[in-house]
Formats: sequence, structure tokens, C-alpha cells
Amino acid sequence: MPEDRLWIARYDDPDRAAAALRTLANLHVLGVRVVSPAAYPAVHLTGHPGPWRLMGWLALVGGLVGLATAIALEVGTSMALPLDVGGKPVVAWIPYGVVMFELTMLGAGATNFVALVVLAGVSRRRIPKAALGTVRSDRLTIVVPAVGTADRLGAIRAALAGAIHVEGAS
Amino acid sequence: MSAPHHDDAAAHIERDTLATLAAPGWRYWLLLLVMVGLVACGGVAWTLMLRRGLGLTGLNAPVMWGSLITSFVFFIGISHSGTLVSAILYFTRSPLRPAIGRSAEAMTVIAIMTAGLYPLIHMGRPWFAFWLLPYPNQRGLWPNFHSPLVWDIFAVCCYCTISALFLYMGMLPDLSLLSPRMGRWRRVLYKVLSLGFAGTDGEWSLLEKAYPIFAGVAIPLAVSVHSVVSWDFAMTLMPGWHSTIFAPYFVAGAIFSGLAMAIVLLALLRRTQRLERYIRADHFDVMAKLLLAMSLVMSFVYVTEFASAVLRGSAAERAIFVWRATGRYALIYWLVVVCNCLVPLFALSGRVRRSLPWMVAISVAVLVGMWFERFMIAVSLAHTFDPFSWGAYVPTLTEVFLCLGGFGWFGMLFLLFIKIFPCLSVTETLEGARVQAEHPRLVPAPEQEAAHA
Repeated sequence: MPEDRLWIARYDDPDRAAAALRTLANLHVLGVRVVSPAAYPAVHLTGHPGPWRLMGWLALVGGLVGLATAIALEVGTSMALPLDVGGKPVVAWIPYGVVMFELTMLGAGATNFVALVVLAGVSRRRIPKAALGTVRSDRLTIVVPAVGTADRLGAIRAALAGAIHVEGAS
Repeated sequence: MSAPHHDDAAAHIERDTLATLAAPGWRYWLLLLVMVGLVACGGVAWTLMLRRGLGLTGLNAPVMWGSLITSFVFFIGISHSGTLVSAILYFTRSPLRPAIGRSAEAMTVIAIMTAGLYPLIHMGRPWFAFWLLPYPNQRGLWPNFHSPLVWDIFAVCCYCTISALFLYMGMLPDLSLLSPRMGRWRRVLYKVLSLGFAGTDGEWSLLEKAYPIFAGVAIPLAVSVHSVVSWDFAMTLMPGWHSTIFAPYFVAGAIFSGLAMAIVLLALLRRTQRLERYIRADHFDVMAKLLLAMSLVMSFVYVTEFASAVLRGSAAERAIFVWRATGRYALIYWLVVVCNCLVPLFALSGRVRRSLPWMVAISVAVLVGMWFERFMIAVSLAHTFDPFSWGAYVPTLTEVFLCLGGFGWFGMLFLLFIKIFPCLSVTETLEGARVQAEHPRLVPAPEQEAAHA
């Protein structure tokens, strides 16, 4: 029978899950993950170094791409078809400002959404399928790597004592 | 917080949300039938117009913008409040958001989709609409980026895209949560649309990071879109239109009419979907105060606009404002003043603010007033510089049907939305329930709220 490499603990109370996570943090257990049906505070106790720090930067890059697209479109099309209206300049930055603003915001927003979808897919990796169904229940699930000496495993198992159910996964 | 309390709250929220998605009653079907009927009327009118041309409308020289552009501006205004209010409530962590955020965002997207129909109809030949888009073509023509009409296309399209994504992003966890509890076709639909969202710590953190960025993008876009719509008018040299006050005036008007529509739709949701636990009297109280505040802003704008034209404006400017109040369309002008400035004053009374029928009646009056306010602006073309070219405009039956068709389209899509997708944010309501359990004084429980009422 293969040895369990992960423990999946299910909780019906977010506070008990948070208490378990604090105990695990005190034991310096690394790689703990949480799956939950809502963004309870327990979710933020894992300290999982996720890719979400990139989000703001990606939105900024998207916004700059949108801005560049707007400038290229407006200047390029004005030069391709120069409309001389009453001697006013063909390339005029103030009226271009509106479309530049709109496309900057669109670029930032659309990039933000695409980044969310892609990075969410990345963050789901290495979580067993048995734990991923949690969002469809009212439970919280803590996934803990079961690695270490027998004493340490005992301490980790004790930290999960408040769970309504603990199962192993390989 | 005790586990049983949390379980109770979660079970209630899920049960109530699922109940909104259950088979509808006869009132829903009747309402949907009415909306479909209006859409059919609008469809027949548009078909006739496509066959026989714009001559079926009352548009003429000099009034080349009539009820169709009025409806466009009106629905853009309606769209204004949803995303804007939802994003502001998100940033202020308001307990109102779980109850009204989803419906308000849906209202935005549906209103933009409705608004977008009117320029196409007004064009007369909608199959040439793509000429407005900048793409390399054999004609060697490009849209003129100096024109507010081109800005408008970009503003409306960007706002529509961002609002739709904002709505969708907020629904991702709910779609994932509810998919196994749905019937066959909805289970598949929800599973596909949830994009594999599984509620991991990484996903929640990403969502919590992405959502404020999106809300931050949506707020300036919401303000810009109605400013740009106002510039369709203000960038011309027409008296009564060519004014720097137009952008803030339109934005205030848009928030005003959007709030009124949100009150009507939430009252409808509360009654038809049995959501009294979530859409509560204190929510209507807050929205009524906002409506009242916006009414005062609108009154101030009307006075400012009138005073600056009459006291400091040119002869043509003075003439048009006096004409609005005393001329052919004076009845409409005073109807606008009554509906937008006087009727909302009833909301000064706390009893009125907490009474659903009263608030719906006031909101309907505001919606009527705001539609006619846009109409009054459009028909100002009948009284421009040159008395020789003064004219008149009366919408034809075709235009009336097209206008009613738009309202039917809006209502139909909203009714379909609330039966296909959850109109309450389950995950946010769960969080709200948790906060309520931990800080009962911060968020009143429905029972406390009812006792207070």
C-alpha cells in the first residue's frame, strides 16, 4: 500500500481551520494549501507564495499596450487619410486623448482578466482532485504534506484534530 | 462564531439562491410575455423601417436626432449606475454590495446592449455599421478620431466589455459552487463558464487582487462613457448643447436614472424571487437617500444651466432656454422638473424611503422624467440660431414602438438573466453572514432589521 504523501482535512468551521493553520505555521510546515467555498480569513493564513503579486504589473503592461495601440491607430489612420478641417492639425493630441484613455483602460482590464484565468489555472496545480471539489460543498479543506519523522507527523496530525474528516492521498 | 450558526447561514443562502433559479411562477411568465410582446412590437417597427426607410420616423431638418437618440442616451445613463455603484460599494466594503451588486452589474451590461441598438436603428442602414470601425479597407477611408461620435463608439464598446468582464469575474466562484446543484443543461453551462475555478487559496488571492484592479478600471470608465456621450452634443455649436457643464450634468443624470432603475429592478427581484432576507428595507433606505442627493444635484444643475444661459449667455442661448420653459415643449420641460426635482423630495420622509411601493413610484417618475429630459435636449434642435429653420418634431408610432421595444428588450434580458444565473452573490453573502455572526452590531440581522422597521 503506498504511503500517504498528503493529508486532506475537511472542516465545517472556518475558525477551527484557521486555528489548525496557525498551529501548522508554528510547526513550520511548508506547502500547506487551503480550498474553500468563500474567501474566509483562513485562506490567507497559508502564506502560499502565489503569482498574485504579478497582477498589478500585468494590468499595467496591458494598459500600456492599450495606450500604444490607441496612439498607433489614431496617428496611423490620421496620416493615412489626412483630413484637413479648417486648417486644424491632422494629428491632434487632445481629441486623441479620449480613445487613448479608453483603450488604456480596456487593455488593463482585459489583461487583468486573462491573467486571472491563466494564473488561477497555475495555482490549481499540485492540489489533489479529492480536495478540489471543496468549493462545491460548505466545507473548508486543508491539504498538508505528510513528510517528516514519526514525531513530526504526529504533531501535524494533532494539529488537524478539529477536522470533521481527515484522509490521506498519495 | 459557532459552526452550527455558520452552517445555518450557508444553508439558508444556498437554498434561497437556488430557489431563485427554480421554475418560475405565473407572474414571471406573464411579465416575460409582456416584455417579449414589446420586443415583437419593436421588431415589427424596425422591420418596417428597414423596408421603407427613415421616412417612417418623425425626424426632419432641423430635428435630425429624436426619440431614438433619446433612448440611446437614456439607456447609457441606466448602464452608468450598476458597475459604478457596485465598484464603489466594493471599495467601501459596504454590506449593501452582496444584495445589490450582481443585479446592478447585470443591469449595466443589459442596458448597454440595449443602448447599442439605437444608433444602429437610427443609422437607417445598420448593415453598414462596420464602417465606423477602424480597419484597413478598399475605400481607403478611416474614421475621424477627432469626432466625438467615434469616441462614443470606443467608449461604449470599452465600457460594455469591462462591465461584462466585471460581472463575469464576480460570478466565477458562484458558478463553480452552484454547478453540481443545478439541472442538466445549467450544470454544464456553469461548469464551462466557471473556467475550472476550485476555490484554492491561490485562486481566492488572485481574485482578491484582480477584483479591485477591475473595479478601479471600471469607475473612471463609467464616468468617461457618459462624459463622452455628452460630448456628442456639447462639441457641436448648437445653443443649449454647447456647454462645459454637459459632461458632469450627464454623469449626474446617469447616476440618478441608474439608481432609479436599480430600485425598480431590486423591488421586482425582492418580490418575485422572495429575497426579503437579503434585499432589505434598509437597503432601499440607503438607495433612496442617494436618489434624493442626486435629485438635488440635478436641480442645482438645471438652475445653473438656466441661470448661466439667461443671465450670461448669447441671444440664441437665452432664447432656447426660455423656449424650453414656455414654448411648444413646455409641458415636457415642466414634467421633467416635477419628476426629477420635486417628486424625489418625498424621499425626505423616512417612512417613504422604507416603503417599497412609494420608492418604486418615485423611481418610475424619475425614469419618466429622465427619458423626457434627454428628449428635451434632443428636440432643442427645433429652435437653433436661425428662426427661418425653426421646426418641430413629434415621434411617430414607429418610433414609439421602437422605444417600447427597447424597454421590452431590456426587461426580457433582465428576466432571463435572473432565471439563468444567480442574482445574489453567494460567496459574498456567505462572507457577509460570517461578518454578521462575528460583529452583529455592524450588520443588522434580518430579524433585527425587521424589528427596527
